[in-house]
Amino acid sequence: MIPPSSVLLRNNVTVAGVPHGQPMLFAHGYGCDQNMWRHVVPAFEDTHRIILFDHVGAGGSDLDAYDFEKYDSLHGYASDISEICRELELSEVIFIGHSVASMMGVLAARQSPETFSKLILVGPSPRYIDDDGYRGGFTEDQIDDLLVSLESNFLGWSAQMAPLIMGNDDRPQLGQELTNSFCRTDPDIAAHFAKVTFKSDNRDDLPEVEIPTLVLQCSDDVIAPEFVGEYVHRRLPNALYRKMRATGHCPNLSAPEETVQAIREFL
Amino acid sequence: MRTEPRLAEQSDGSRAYDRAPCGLLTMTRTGTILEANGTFRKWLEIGSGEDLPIFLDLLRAGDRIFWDTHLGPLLDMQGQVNEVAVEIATPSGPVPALLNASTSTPGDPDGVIDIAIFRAVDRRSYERELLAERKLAEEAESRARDLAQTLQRSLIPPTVPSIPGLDVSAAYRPAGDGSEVGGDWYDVFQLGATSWMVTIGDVCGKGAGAAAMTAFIRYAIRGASMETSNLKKILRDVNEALLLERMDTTATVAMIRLDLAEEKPRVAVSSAGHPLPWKIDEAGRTHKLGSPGTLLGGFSEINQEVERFELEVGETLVLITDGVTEGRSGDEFFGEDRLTTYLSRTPSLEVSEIPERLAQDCVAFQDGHPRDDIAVVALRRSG
Repeated sequence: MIPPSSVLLRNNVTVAGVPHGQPMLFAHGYGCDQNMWRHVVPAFEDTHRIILFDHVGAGGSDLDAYDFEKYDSLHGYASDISEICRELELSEVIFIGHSVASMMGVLAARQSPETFSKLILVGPSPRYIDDDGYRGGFTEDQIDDLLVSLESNFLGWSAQMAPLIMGNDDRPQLGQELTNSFCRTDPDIAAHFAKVTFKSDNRDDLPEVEIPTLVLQCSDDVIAPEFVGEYVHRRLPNALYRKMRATGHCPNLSAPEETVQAIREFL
Repeated sequence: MRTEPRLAEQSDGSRAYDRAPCGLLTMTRTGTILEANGTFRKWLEIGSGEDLPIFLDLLRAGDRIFWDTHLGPLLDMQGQVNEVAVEIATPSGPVPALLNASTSTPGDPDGVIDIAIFRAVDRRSYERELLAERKLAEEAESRARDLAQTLQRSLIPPTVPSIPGLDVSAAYRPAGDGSEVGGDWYDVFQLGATSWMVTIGDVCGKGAGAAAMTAFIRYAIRGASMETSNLKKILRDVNEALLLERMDTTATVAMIRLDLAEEKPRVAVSSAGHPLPWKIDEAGRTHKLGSPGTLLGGFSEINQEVERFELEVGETLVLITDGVTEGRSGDEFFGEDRLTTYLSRTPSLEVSEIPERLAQDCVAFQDGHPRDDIAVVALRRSG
C-alpha cells in the first residue's frame, strides 16, 4: 500500500553511525520524541548503525498518517517498527525501547522474531493499571486524570503550535521548533496515545518472547515502579534484570552514562 | 511634600523572596523540596521549621504522570517550562495553579529545579469553561458535517446501475472538507426496455438551499424524461418547473440519452449551460460533444441543441462538472489542457478507473482541498 520511502518519512526515521554495523533501533516512549535518546546514541555511533524514529503522532512524524483505528492498540506501533526494519532491510536488530515503546518492541519481536537479536527495555510496564492479583501502580481514575491534565496543558496547540510544527519547508527557527515540538503534539492524538499507552495490557505477550532481553529498572520510578520491572523480568523467559541508581522514568535523559554502561555490558 | 515609598527594614532580598505573591521553591529532580518561601508554606500550612513534603506528591495523579512524561524531559532538554497548569494539594483542598520551572543545569542528575507557582483559580476555571465550550462547538460541527454528508449521499446514486453492453463508472468529491453540501450531482437511470439516461449538473450555490434545488431538479429531470424522449423538451419542462417554483437560483445540466436497441448504441447529447461532455476514441483523440445551450432557471426562453451519433467499440464518453476544470492551484487553473491530456490517456484505463483518477488528480492539484465539488461520470461500450 505505502510506497517505500514514505515509511521513513511517516516515522521521521534518521539513520546514523556505522553503515554496516549491527543495527541499534531506538524507540522513544510516551510524551516526547526521538530526542529522548540524544545523550545515549553518541556512545554507540562508532560501533553500530543507529536508527532513530518518531512514533506516528509524535515529533516530526507525519501527523496526517495518524489513524485512530490503527493506533488504537500498541500493535499498530509495533507493525510500524517492523515496517521500518523491512524498509531498511535490517537484521540482527538490537531494539532499545523506552517506557511504552518497550512493549511495542515486545510485540514487534513476537510479530517477526527473526528480525531481532536482543531487546533492551528501559522502564517497561506491560500494564499500568492494577488488576486482580497484579499491581501496575495506577488506578483507572488516575489515568483518566492524566487526560484532564493533558487537556489543560495543550490549550495553546491549535492556535500557535500547529503552524509551527506543520510547516515543513524553510525552517529558520529550527532550534525553537525543536524545543516547542519536542513534547507537544495535536491534543487529540496526545489524549488517544495516552489512553492506548496507559490502558493497554500486554502481560501475556511477555512469555512469548525468547530473544535475550535486558530489563533496565530505575529507582523511584512512579510510572514504572520496581515491582512492575520485576514482574516483567519474571515473565520473560530469557531476561536479565538490572536496577539502576538513576531515579525517575527517563534515565536516558537523567543518567545517560549509567544507561550507556548498562546497555554496553549487556551487549 | 511627597516621600518615596520605602521598606520598613533593610532587605537583602530575602524578604521579597519570603513574601512574594507566589509560591517559590527549590527542589531536587525527584521532588525533595530543599527550600520554600513563606507564601508556599502558608498555602500548605507548614511552619518555617517543619519538614516539607515531596513536591511531586502534591500534584494530582494526572499532573504527576504529565510531569514524568513531558515536563521532566522538557526541563532536561531546554532548562525551563512555563505556564504549566497543575493542581496543588493543600490542607484546604486542591488549588488550581500555573507553574514555571527552570534549572540552570539541564540534564544534570544532581541539579536543582527552581519553581514559581501562581494561584490561578479564576483563570483556570475560565479555561475549563472555554474548553467545555470548544467541545460543544466541535460536537455541533461534527453533527453538521454528518448531516451534510448524509444529505449529499442522498443526492447521488449510492452505486451506478449497470447498463447492458456498457461499462459505467462515476466519482464525486465534495468541496473543502465536505462539511457543506455542494450543488453537483449526477444520475443514471433507465427510461425504457433499451434506453437509458445519464445526467450531470451543477446548482448555483451551496448548503441546504442548493441541496433542495439539486433534489428538485434531479427528480424533475427523471419525471420529464418519463413523458418524452426529446432532450430539448425535457430541458424546457425542467426550466419551466424551476421558474414556476421560483427557486431563485440557476442550474446547469448535461444529459446523454442512450438507445441500445440496435447493435451500435445511439447517443443523443444536450447541454444547458454545462461544461460539454467529451468523447474519446480508441486512439485517444478527444472531441467535445454538443453546444453549450442556455442554463436553467434563469430565463423563460431557452435554447438547446442536440448532437446525435453512434457509439463505436472502444469509444469513451466522459461527463464532468466545472469543479474539474476550474480547480485552482495558486493562480493556475486545472484547465482544459490538463483535462484533455488526461482524457487522451483514458483508452488504456479501465472505465472503473477513469472518474476516480481524474477526481484524485484534480484534488491533488489543489493540495487536497478542492475549492468546488467535483463530479465525473464515464461510460464505454464494452468489448
